Amino acid sequence: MISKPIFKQSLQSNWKLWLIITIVASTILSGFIISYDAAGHASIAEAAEGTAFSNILSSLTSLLGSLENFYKLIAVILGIVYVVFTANNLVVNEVDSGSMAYTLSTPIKRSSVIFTKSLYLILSVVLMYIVISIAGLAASQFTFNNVTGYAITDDVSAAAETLNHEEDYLSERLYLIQEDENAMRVAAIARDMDTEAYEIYLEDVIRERSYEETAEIITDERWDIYEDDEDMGDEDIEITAEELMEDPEMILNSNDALAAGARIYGVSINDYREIITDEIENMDTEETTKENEEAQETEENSESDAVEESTTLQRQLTEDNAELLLQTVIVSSATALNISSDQISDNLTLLKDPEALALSTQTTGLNEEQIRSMANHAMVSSARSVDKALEFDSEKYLWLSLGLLLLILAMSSISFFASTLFNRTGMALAIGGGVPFAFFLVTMIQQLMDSADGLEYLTITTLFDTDAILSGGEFGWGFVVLGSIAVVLYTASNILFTKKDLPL
Amino acid sequence: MPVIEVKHITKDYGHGRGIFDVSFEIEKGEVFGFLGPNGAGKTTTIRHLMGFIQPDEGESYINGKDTWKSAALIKHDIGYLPGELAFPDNMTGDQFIKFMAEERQISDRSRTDELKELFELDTSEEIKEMSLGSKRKLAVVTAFMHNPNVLILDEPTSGLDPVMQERFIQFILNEKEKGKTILLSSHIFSEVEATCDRIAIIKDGVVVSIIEADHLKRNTNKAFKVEFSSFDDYEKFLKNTAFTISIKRPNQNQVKMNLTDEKMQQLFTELSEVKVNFISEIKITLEDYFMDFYDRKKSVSDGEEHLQYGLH
Repeated sequence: MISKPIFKQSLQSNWKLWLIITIVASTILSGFIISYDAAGHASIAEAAEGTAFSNILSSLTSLLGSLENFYKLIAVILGIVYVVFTANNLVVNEVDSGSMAYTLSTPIKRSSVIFTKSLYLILSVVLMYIVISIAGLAASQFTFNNVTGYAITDDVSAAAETLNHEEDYLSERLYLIQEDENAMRVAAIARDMDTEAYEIYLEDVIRERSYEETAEIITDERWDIYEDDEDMGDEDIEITAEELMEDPEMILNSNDALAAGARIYGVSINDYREIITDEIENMDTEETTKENEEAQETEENSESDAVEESTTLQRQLTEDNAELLLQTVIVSSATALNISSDQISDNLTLLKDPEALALSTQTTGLNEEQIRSMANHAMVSSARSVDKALEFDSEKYLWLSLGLLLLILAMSSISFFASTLFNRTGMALAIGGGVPFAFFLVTMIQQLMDSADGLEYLTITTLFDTDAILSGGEFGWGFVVLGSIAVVLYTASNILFTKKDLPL
Repeated sequence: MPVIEVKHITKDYGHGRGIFDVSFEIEKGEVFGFLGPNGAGKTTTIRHLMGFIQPDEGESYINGKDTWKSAALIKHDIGYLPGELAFPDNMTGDQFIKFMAEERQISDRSRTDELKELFELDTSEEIKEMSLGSKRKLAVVTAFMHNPNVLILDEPTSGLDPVMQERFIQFILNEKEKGKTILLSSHIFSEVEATCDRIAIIKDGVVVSIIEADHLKRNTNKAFKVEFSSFDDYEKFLKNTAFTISIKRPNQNQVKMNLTDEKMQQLFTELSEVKVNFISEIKITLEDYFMDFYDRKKSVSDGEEHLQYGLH
């Protein structure tokens, strides 16, 4: 079925373009990733929080979200260039020039000629996008260390230097920073926080990580138990960190989960069990107080990621007025310190300056403790946004890479079909290159214009729904259709070539 | 059983283009010439034999196998020399030879080396740097490297210099001696005349005539041109001759006449009565015969007639 010499010859006459496109695409993707500005994206996300766009933006303000232009436009046009020229070179060029006659004057069947050539195109596209994806992974790993482990943020770098540890070693053992006063100080400065806020931040990070890791272990264990249980869907088996935070009791039942959690905290399993038990108790009391509060007040704040300390100010600080109060405090502090409010926003530790505090308490009517707490909260949540923006979601990356690959394979099948259908290079280029390029143009117009109603039906790039992938929506059918286009057109090409008249 | 069989093949491309009801058979060891101008349908017929195109009607067989359905199978024993010289890009001669050897799955390279030597081909060059002649030689080497028994040659000597043309004709004759079956498509009369046993003439997609080459060579009908030394001799000869004189040229004291070999003695008896400047035979070449079909737009029967009487 496969002809080795033909495969070899296809490789010899097409590897240069393959290499160029692969290098260019890998470089661009790596460049996008390396130059990714986490803090910048995080601030956009914060600005949009609470607005109607927060849902859409939350998907875009991550490292992967910033790559949308690459996946929708750059990688697509580079792929089109490769597949159009290679598909042409493989079939119609040899028919048009007549050099196919030499191959067909040997005992090689037409069916194996065309099968080998389609296989070459498919494999080369697959390999190209595997290389590009690996280049992206490598770039992200080397720049942020966020693929195999936790992203190395500025505080970890600074603390690693002070503590004389490797950065990635320390990034998995944040408790080492907590244990060292010096490290805490430099780490806090590195993240534009004071030690007080940084301590809250660090505790918050460690707590969340422990829940993530334990949730993962518990999910694995449940998989083993319920795998064959037909009543349990995937969703039912999977335990997310959020679910676990609401019901930490499950951790106490799993020794592996306890060990993993303890490792994050850098404590013994017993101590960790203690921590979890405390948290369960806290939750119970919180619930009762909450119930009491609800009885007294009709509107109540239930902000889930609020730092524990903030419970005290909830009496006066509600979700509605928190943002307004923060702005007032910032403006007051700016007046007190005689600087612009932008400078305050860039460095929120200034809110704790005694002069600023004095004026802020005056203007807002809050007490000092509340304002300090508010400043801490603001600093922690801004730092957490940056952390979020730096996260590398391997699963989403895999889907993005696979979707892109399927899209290019579908494009390649169009070019390949045109290349077998026509006997003249010009015609094959016009159709086999024109159609994919038209798809690309429509996508570009779509990206440039905000409202492009109906355009999405004119291009197959719509089937590669990056937005849905990034926001956790439904994208599987698009992939199936793209794959089907490729299968159908490659099959049609193979049948067509064995039956058609060749003008050799 | 004939090695190559073409049975009533029709391929209509419209506008009068294509081939229509083409039939011929080539026996083992025979060299068959396929003569016709460009666009007459030679290459279309060969495309059918190579299984590149499917006939609208009729079928063709090589070694008893259908050339469309068993296209790949029959290639084991076919050496094909394409009319157009289009090689894969960016290969040297050696790389191309290696590529073709791999495609043919042959490992014995002795025949290849023999052919390279015979045609004095330097294969180390990039193909696109090669002269037309070298490309042609390269095509020849790769077409026959597997020592096939059936050779299909589409205008094989175009682009070769006269020395190489001669060497190629010699090569074909050698192959013929080895009992190979050869289809030679050409519009060069001399090489067809020199090599072929039978010749098919194709015109506008129709085979108008298939002639035996021996018939041309051993034609007992001869034509002679005689010039007499004086007008008196000319007059005297005309008065006494028993031959039909086809052309008379009193100004030059010349006559042309047709006769068969048996009458040769009588001609010399008659000529001995008069003074003659020279006597020359007018050869009937394939070209003359061929031209009858093409330049003069004559019918097949006219051509046959001319062959009969050698009137030119």
